[in-house]
Amino acid sequence: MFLIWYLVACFGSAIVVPVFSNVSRKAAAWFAIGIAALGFGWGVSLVGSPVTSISLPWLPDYGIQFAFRLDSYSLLFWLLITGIGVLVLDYADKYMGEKPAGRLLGWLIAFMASMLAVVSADDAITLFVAWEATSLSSFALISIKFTDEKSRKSATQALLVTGMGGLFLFGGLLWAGVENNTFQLSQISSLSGLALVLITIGCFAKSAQWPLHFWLPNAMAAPTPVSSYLHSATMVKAGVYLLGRLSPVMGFQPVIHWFGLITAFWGATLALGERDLKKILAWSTVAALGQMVALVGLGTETAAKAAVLLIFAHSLYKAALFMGAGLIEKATGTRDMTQVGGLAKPLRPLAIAFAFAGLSMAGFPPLIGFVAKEAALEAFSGLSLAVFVASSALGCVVAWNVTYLPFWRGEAPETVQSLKLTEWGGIGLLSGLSLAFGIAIPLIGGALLGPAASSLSGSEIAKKFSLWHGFNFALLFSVLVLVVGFLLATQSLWIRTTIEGVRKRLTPSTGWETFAKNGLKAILTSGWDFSRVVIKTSFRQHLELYFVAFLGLGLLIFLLKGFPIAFWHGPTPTPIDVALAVFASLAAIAALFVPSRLGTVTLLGIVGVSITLTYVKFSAPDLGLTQVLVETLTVVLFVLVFAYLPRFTSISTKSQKVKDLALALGFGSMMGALMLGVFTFGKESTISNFFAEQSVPGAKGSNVVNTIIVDFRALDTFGEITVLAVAAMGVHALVRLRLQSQGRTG
Amino acid sequence: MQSELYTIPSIDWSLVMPFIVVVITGVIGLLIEMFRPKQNNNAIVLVSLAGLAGAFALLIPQLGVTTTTTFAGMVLRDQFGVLLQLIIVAGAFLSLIFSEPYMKQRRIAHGEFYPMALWATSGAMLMVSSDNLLMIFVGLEVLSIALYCLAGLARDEQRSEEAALKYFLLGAFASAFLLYGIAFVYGITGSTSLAVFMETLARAPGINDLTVLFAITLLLVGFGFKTALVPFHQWTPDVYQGAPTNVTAFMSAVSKVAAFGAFARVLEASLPVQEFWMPALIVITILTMTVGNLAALVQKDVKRALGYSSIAHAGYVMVALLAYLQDPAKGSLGTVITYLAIYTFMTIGSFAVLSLTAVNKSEGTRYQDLYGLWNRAPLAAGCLVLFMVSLVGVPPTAGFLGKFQIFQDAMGAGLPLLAIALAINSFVSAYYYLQIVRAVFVDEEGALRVQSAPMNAGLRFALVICAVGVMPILFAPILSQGKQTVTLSKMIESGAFLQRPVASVPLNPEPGEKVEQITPSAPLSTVTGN
Repeated sequence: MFLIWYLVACFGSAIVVPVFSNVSRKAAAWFAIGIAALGFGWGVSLVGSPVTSISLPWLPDYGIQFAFRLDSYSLLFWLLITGIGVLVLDYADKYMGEKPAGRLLGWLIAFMASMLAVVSADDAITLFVAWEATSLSSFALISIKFTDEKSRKSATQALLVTGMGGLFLFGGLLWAGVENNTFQLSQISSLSGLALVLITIGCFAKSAQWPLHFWLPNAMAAPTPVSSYLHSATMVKAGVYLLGRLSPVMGFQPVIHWFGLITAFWGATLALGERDLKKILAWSTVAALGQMVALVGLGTETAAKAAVLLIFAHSLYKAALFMGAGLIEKATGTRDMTQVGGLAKPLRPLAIAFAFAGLSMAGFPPLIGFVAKEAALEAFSGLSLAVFVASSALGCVVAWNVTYLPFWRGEAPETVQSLKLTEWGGIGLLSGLSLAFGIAIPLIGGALLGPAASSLSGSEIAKKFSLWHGFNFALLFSVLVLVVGFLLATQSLWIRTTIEGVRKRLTPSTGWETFAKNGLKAILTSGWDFSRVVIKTSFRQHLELYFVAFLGLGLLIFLLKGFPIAFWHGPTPTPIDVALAVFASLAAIAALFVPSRLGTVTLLGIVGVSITLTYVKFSAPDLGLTQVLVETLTVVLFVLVFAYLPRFTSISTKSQKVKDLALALGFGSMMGALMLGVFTFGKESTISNFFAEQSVPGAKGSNVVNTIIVDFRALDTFGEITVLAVAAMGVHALVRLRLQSQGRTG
Repeated sequence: MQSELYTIPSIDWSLVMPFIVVVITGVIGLLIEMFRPKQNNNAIVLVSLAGLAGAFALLIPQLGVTTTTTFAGMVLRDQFGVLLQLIIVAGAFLSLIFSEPYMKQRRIAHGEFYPMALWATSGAMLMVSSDNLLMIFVGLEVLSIALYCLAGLARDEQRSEEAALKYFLLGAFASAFLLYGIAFVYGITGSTSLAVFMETLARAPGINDLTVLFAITLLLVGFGFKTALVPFHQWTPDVYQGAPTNVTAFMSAVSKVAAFGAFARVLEASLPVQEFWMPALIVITILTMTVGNLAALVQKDVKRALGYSSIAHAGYVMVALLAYLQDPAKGSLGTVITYLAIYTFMTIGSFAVLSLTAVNKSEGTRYQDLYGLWNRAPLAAGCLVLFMVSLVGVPPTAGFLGKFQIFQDAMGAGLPLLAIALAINSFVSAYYYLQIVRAVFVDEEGALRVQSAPMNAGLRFALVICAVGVMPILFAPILSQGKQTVTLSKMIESGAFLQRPVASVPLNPEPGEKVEQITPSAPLSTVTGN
């Protein structure tokens, strides 16, 4: 229950902190850090204890609940998120300097809570909601300087990629839920086919796997605290987390494995071609994520162990490097690695901390990065081993580039100020932990990492964690990686210029980012085309579409059900009927050709009168009466408003007229055919007989027409009178208006 | 003889009381408008809001009460209708409460707005509380005619006038189609009752297919217009953009809810021949979502974009409705109702914020006009962002909950095509909603100097209610409830449908009984049809 209250409290303080920050900034910051520390402390107290789980009903009818389950694997993430969270919050407060930090802190806490919910959720829908919450808070965090156009753009890109990924994930989770008949992640027993593909795509987008990797370096527009927290230590690992969580039940893992390896190699290569320190780190994060995915995709016990180690080691050193990059930028005003050098002198503590982090990244003993790399080398074999060795060697070069070049080569500018302990303390702590955990690996391995690896692989892992495995192939390769890395590092300048050159020559139209951009553009363009082709603005076209649509549906019906062949089943028409029909038709046709408005109205009046007479002919006097009144009124109204209308002009082109004619003929014939069809259904008319019979006994009147109007349908007559009265008032108003305007002009 | 011939039906007035309250409030409002001493609308506003609140209060006790009819079966009270009426009244209330300051800003504070809006509301209420096509039609006309006038409320503005005229002309056509359809239904069954229609279809499958199908098609065109389904949607962007913003808010919620309520009843009655219209409606629904969203992508005016977005959302509601009709066990009318309710809050809230951008007679609803709103009116801007996020369907907003529900219903009912189309469309739609969010945050420096009207209490109230309304926690119980209790007719499966005490007209009525049923139909339709 603590878990849920804690998450609620986090979201609450995400609102409180920014507000409170205006009152006392310092207290607000300490409060924020305290919240994170509380979570960390709780996490530590759980180490070694059995699985914690809790669930609250949400939509019980659909089998959906707020369910959380914290096993060792989740607990590892929980500790990383809260632990690094403490440091990042502290760092963020100082990073903002004099500027208000409340909003940043608030969003960071909101993000932390969502991320904690992701790693502890046991319900697919809860997980998805939390997942999207991380995307959203990430959007807010990247665009925290929302007045800056570039921040907004990168934030939108990140949101679109991860948001789209989230959609895939959602589809996949639903599918999996329906297939397994449960939304509880720990109950899902098989995952295959479409569900797996969709979930994998979602995870790939979140964890920046090739080919959905391009958003991560762009997200570096975010303030450094955000980058170090979201884009290296925690959020991007959500994809890895979920793949790992589901890996015991997953099918076709080799594909995932190879996508991971491609990403690992590609990320490391691109990292070498960058000058911007944060972008270098971003690409190397992509590479590391690739390695993790590759390990998770392998699915063996050794791989699980290696994956857990790598996740742990990477979070420690990468967070340190990112935060350090922010300090370098603060000190020198640039992140361009070619512009800075010799920083070791003024920033000595930072240089040492960086060195340790870099050594861990390169996989140098006795740091924890070495243990992780050893384990990974043990897990791979064959071609994957070769690719992994290559990407690790490139990783060494990256480590060299970020830790050696800016600090130990060249001269620092005079202006660089030395740092206070409070500023580099967090980084020093993380780097120190990289060393300490490397040495104390049996301890941490037994308590935290071992159980985590066990729950990742789904079976108890007996393997011990140790720094020294004796002389074996893994060690040989580890040394090989370091040697090759060092050799390459001496040529790092040449490598960078070559990659830059190649990237420049490859036109930007080939990248995945451009591909995605073009995709978005294509959607927009199709929107335009739609507007042009489908969205008509002229009224005539609106009406045309109406009739065309109806004609289409009508034709469909005729096709399905056949044309009414039996033509006439009704009573035989008398000459009067025929005459009325012909009369009405002629008047209607003539109305089309009369050049004056008055003529048209008159002819339409004739159509109306013909219809009235038809009603009378078929013994419906009340209908006839109504119709006559309405017709009369219509003509009167028409005549009255004529004065306000412009002249009768011909606005149609010839082709338009032809189209209109076709439409009119089509519509007319369809309704005509339909009327014939109705007669095949023909019911015998009964109502008039009833009136005739009941006129005297029921209404005490022998004039049937009278009794119908004033007795049988008295209420209708009353209604009609009312309608006519209202209409007459309208006519009166029109006439008065006209008289007034005449009076004014005359 | 005489007494048997004319039996005056017993009338349960409590069923129609909310409706009557709304109508009478409108009349009172109009009387105040005529005789008021001062040139302000405060009294009318108060009376109108009080009337709507009263109607709401009267509706609440009707929740969960057994289905009954009165007025000889012409008025039907069921859970579905009552819930929709609640949404309609709430929607009307929310869009009325922020209207006055906005109309003053635009110098169109005509007192007749309130009575007309109330009568439109009454029409909408009528539409959802009857399963008789004639009543539905009368309700529709009461609603529509008032809306035509309201759309042209800004009488001096060409765009508003154009909106009114277009709406009226196309609406008249749609009504004609609808009426034609009703006439066919009457021709087939000898009654305008949907229950009888369904019974007839169910008892005699294949009863003159051609006429039945044409009747349904004609009804489809009529309701397609009102619910703004492609290709009968063309009026929506023009009218949404041209009408004053408060009217747009009113229209987007009240009119849509009513239209869907009636449409649901009609489609359900047509279930026995669903193999004909189901494929057609699936195509139409996919088109509706796609065209709505794609067209919205490229709009430069926020109101217009939201107009297209409302088309897309009509498509989403259709998905829910079709899922229910395809498989009443898997889909649920609760989903339809919930989504309509959520959409009501989202759309009214969005338009309420947009009403702020009106300054001195004109209104500014282009994207640029929203620039810097964050600085000018943080509450409104924050709410707008919330509504947009909810419209996209991002968790944890109610918009997400609603869409999720629809998605699941569609999957469960075996309409994966619709579910996938819904998902893709949600993604596409994110783009233009985020554009609106973006515009709110763009710094006004360097951009156009834009102003907006000051905040006011009514607007604040509407915004807060709407913002609370997009919190998902509210709807979870409704959804669970809806799944169990809200059905038009679980009766379909159980066969209870056939025993329902509907209009006392047997299929082959005795002449004596027929009077009641036929009398109002023929002449009335002639009058209104013209």
